[in-house]
Amino acid sequence: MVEVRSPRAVFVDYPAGRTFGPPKEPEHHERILAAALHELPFFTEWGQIRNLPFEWESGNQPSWQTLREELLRPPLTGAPVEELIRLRNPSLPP
Amino acid sequence: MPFDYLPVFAEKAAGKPVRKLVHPSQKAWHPLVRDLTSARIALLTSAAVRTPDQPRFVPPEDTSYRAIPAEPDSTDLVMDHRSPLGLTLRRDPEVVFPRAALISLAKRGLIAGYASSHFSFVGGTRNHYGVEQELAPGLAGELKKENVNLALLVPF
Repeated sequence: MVEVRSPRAVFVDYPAGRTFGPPKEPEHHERILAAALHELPFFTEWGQIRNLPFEWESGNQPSWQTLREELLRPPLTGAPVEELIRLRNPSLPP
Repeated sequence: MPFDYLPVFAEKAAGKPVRKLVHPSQKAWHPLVRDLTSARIALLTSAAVRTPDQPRFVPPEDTSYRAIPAEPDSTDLVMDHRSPLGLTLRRDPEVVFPRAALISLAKRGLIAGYASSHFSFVGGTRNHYGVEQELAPGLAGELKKENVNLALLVPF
């Protein structure tokens, strides 16, 4: 991020792939999003990175100790890549 | 707890060509909206998610993008990104693509609103020329059409 110099960046020290927190915790996601947006007025030039004051709780998965193993897994291939993520409200017409 | 990602990525990339960091050719800076309550926001995600009826992404050099409806329960999603981290995203895309959280902020009056569509593309590409010459201008045009004044990119 330092090298790429995005216009305004905030950093959340959560494991990669969980920027807004653990799955299925909507209030947590909203807190992170609101905190990120509230940082915006404090940027004075491009390339700055501001840290958000959140810590990954020790009971959450992955732990920092197992994140390395997760990152080193082989890339997904085949059917799992195409797996449907079911979000659609079943009451909606097809 | 600080986690040192770079050595892990270097280990994973052993034997592959060295990844070069690219510096933007132009300064990336634009004045902000006056305050958040006047912000109409679009999300950009590099997680390569799409709706089931959209053409699939072809990672890693694909520089196309897909428009994703802003309402999370209006459509299912498919993820074409090959990162093993995607297993968590499949349980809840909100962890990197917070559409519901954005709607909630709008309902609370903290922001003015949100785009009717957000945008998705493939992260981790080495096709930097394509990103700067094709993907970024395409997204900029879409954001203009959406009449947003703030875009939030969540890297995956």
